[in-house]
Amino acid sequence: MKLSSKQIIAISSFVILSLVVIIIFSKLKSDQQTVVNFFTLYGTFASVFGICITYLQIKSVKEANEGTELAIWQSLKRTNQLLSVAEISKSIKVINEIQNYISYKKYDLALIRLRDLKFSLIQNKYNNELESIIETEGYKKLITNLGVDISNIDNLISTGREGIDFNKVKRNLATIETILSEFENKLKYINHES
Amino acid sequence: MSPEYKTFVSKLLEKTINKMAIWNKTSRENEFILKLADGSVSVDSWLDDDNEDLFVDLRIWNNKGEVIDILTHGLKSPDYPELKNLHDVVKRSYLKIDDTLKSFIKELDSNKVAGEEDELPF
Repeated sequence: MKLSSKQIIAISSFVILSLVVIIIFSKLKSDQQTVVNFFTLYGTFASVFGICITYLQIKSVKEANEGTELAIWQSLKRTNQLLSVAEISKSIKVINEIQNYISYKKYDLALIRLRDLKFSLIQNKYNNELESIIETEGYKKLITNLGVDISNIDNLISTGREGIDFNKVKRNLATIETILSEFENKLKYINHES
Repeated sequence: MSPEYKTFVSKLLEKTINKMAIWNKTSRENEFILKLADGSVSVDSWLDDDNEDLFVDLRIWNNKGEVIDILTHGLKSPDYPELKNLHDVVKRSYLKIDDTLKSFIKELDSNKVAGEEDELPF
């Protein structure tokens, strides 16, 4: 059995301190050098030594737990990043789908997918890694523009109110696609240890 | 229109006339939107196909892109002229009509020859 450096230090300390106790005992007056006094002295030393070892053990277990916690947290963070990348890729596909529906004038289907896209954009707000981009006025403007487009298409379907510039809707979608591609790259190439 | 909305509309008008509000066009041909810190406000004007009536609306949007309030007024409504005036001012501001006219007048006042000759095909 190979002993660790900590175990070797503990055993060495025990042996040295035992010798110190024996030396202290030998320095006592001859009438005090009784078996009871030896065990009292040695017992006190053994108790203090035991308390120190227990303290160091608890500290070591705590450190190990913290290390495990950190590893779990990092792994969880990475899993969330991968899920976010998958979600963003899905949103980019949804944008292409919406553009096709608009080209074929299938506005009711486009509306459903536009609502899904808006939900994804709002969900990104809760991704801490993307905070620096999402907290900008530009991102808020994208969500508002998407909301306006949804409302306008909804009005077209429900009340027949025309006058929508679908090229503008497509341009808004293209801007969202660019921003989402930036998110995707940011998450893909992020430093895993941070 | 409530007193709060009357104040809001007059503030929008004042800010737009003073060129202190940057309006953008939405996907509707006659709708303009102004982004503010806690949301946005849009104004639109359109002709109803069925009733052949003119309408103007003012919408309040939150930062999630949801409409939280709408004021819609038809031509017969007493509040129509106020909102229509706002829409006209916003439209002129977005299209920079006044600036363009000023530039035209300045050009016509100068001694320079206005316009360019087309290249003749012979």
